Amino acid sequence: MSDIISLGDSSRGKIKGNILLIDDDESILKLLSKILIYEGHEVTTVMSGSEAIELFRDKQFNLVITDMYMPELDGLDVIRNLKDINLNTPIIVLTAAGSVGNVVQSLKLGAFNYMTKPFNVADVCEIVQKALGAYASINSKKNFFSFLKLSRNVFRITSDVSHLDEVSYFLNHWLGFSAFKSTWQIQLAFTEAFTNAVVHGNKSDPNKFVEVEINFSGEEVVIIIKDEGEGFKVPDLKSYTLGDDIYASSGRGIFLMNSYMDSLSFNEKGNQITMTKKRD
Amino acid sequence: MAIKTRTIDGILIFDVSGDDLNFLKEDLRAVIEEASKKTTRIIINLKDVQNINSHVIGSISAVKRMLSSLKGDLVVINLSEKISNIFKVVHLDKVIKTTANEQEAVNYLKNLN
Repeated sequence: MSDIISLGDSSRGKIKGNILLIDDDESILKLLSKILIYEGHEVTTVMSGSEAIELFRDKQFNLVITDMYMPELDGLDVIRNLKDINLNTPIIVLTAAGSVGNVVQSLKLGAFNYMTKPFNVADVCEIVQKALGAYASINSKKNFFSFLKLSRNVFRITSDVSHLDEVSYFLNHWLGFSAFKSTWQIQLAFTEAFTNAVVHGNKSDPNKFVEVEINFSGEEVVIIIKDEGEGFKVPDLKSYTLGDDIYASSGRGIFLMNSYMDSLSFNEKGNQITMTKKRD
Repeated sequence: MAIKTRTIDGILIFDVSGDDLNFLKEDLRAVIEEASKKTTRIIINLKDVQNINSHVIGSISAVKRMLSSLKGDLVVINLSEKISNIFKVVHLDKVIKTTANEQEAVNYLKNLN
């Protein structure tokens, strides 16, 4: 099946998708499969989170529906892992009525919506259609990047690491929108560089700023972070290793950035870092 | 990032949670080192942790070194695939024992000589 979902029977106007169902209860899998196949969807079922993660890595799905309570990996674990692989695929969580805490947590982790058990057919169809519609909308916007030459975004931020979540949210939004697959690696490199700039560069001085520039094109994302500190002695990145002392107190940040980004460079003074990641 | 502690069979378990990115808010190393005055057998549970960075890695490796010098040990459990990947990249997987579940970690630490 194509990885792009298709419009179904035009008379019914329904979107059909390739859906992954995860539940350790076989009777729920059978019931949901029956409903979704009747609606024209292609359905794959698995009974554990680990099986789902393995499958999700190799095959494109338009929607995932996962049970919340499963042995070993639960629904929250599944969401965390699947979102690391592909941010854009919507995930619906199945949960028992009254489990509000876990629902809130799942939504915070990026779940699209939830359904409480026992569910009725109309609700299932409606939520599935909304989720597939959201996925189709993101896919249609991917075309934007075929003609986008550059989107340049500059932030001047006070030296406070608590701003990290907000700037990272913006970064993730664009990465998801532009369908970068290695989102978490980019986010990790960004986190390292921003924290370094605030803590080591500006020494958390509230009167000093960190300038963050995030440039997107259809092919790559370039992140430039500059602080107002004195700079530091730039290491030779081509031969940069962690050394023999695995317990060394420093060096891991640069090592992580160097490992996860395609290129990394500093200005001569050592107070500006430029990182590039090409589209997968 | 929040840290709660509990004890099983004399083993101190740190349940770490939080999805934010500001890892400097809570000093994991200081919390664990303080608690380690009571026991040198420790489990760090990362089940509810989505992100880590070099600061957290540095804290974990410092705790490992400290516990080793006291003839104790540390097991990190419930690593997500992403965090496992980071452990491998910085070679932490070679020196720190990790397990997929708590019972396995408890059994290992209980049998530690």
